[in-house]
Amino acid sequence: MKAFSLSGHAALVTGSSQGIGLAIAHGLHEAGARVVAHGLQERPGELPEGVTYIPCDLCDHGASAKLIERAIAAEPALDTLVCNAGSFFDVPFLEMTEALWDKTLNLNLRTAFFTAQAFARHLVRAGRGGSIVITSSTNGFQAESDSVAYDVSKGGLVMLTKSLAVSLAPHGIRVNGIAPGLIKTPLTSVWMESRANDLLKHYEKKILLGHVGKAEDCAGAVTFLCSPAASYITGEIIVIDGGLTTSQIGKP
Amino acid sequence: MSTPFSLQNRDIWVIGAAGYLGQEVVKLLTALGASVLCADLPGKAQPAPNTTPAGLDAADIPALEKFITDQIAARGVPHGLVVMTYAGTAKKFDELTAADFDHANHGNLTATFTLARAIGNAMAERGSGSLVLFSSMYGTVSPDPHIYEAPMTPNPVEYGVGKAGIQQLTRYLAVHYGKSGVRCNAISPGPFPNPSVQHDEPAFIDRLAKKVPLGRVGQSPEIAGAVAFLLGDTSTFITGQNLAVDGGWTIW
Repeated sequence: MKAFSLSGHAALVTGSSQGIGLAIAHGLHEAGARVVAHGLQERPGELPEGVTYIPCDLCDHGASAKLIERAIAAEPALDTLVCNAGSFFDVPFLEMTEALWDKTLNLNLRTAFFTAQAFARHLVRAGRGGSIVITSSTNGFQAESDSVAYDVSKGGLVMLTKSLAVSLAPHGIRVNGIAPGLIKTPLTSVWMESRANDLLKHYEKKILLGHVGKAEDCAGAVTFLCSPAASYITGEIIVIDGGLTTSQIGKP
Repeated sequence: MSTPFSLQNRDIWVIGAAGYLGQEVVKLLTALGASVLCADLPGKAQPAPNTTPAGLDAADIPALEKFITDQIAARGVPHGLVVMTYAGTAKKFDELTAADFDHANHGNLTATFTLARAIGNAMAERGSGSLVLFSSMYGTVSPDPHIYEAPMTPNPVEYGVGKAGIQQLTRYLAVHYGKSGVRCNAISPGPFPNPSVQHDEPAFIDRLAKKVPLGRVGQSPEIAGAVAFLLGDTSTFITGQNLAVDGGWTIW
């Protein structure tokens, strides 16, 4: 269907070697986009053929601009960016360190800002419109205990999405986001296994649709937001949480 | 057609299908393979391939209940329901009577509640379905009276009050039906003035466009993608959400 097609578009997805990012890369590819994937590790086997893979540590000095340069070299028609790279480094608040705070805010928030900036500079120079999608989290709207740095970084991404949307609208660049709730990925599996008997049970009870999400549940929303079907949507964040936060999470 | 956004073999009921936005929604849904029951005030819905036009005054509750029973008997429980009706007056704030206010609330809230509950219950019994209710940017923010200078009529208070109610109805229904596999989401359109207003009132259109980060009013085909997305299989982990299709109106 033309409305949801990304044929003729090229997308960079940061943090797409596994989990939600990998599913997004697959979804965009399936919708007809040329795709550049990125991660810290070696190229993962699951990436479709024809997808370029660029490994780098986005937290290195100047890495965001370099990644955009390399992505443009691989796909000169690059007009779509998904800022998805992120992780969780919190320990209980009273034990948090400056290093862990910096690591969280650098990776989750700072690299998204500068990757989006390098990407937008390129599009504005080229006089072309485009689309950005930022992966935040339901933690950007609702607090979770002992997740303070992560929550702050995701709250920052929620406002980054809206603020960038306003700043880039005059250049024909739409900026939207997804806010996943509890999704089973390599990153969250560790937490889920350790809390299988208490917190996870509570979350499963609170998720209206009755089950933890799959990474693939996030792919369709990103494809939609990047496609012509969303041409009048900007600054909007689609929550993908099975209803987890609709009547609030609370505690067990 | 093989796209994750396909609505092949889905039966969708669109209430308010003959309106400026409704017509475009129906067009996209049928293009994606759905069969559509197009309900609107008697004589409004016109025949088109894969649609069934039907006359209905949704504010007439006994007629609405009979309509639902008859249509379920005739075509089964729908996979999706889209409610695009609204009620309002053209009266000035100080001239609005209590009866006017009740009348608008009845059309906006009571009729939508009656419709969504009847269909929601039938979907819950089957164990699946998607409800999409139309709110508005004026369910989220207040109209700016300066935009509606004469000869335009101010956007009336009873309209936005009802549309704000739709957002909470959406969350409540998402929680109520979640465990039964029935999802409920809202769409909040921004400024989508109809073609005659776009043609006849350029100064008004200009004032609206200035309020939109994307710098223009929406065109009717731009609403349809959000509806198709929320009805289909790429949004199966999304419920209780309000999706703004407003060019960024509500973010600044």
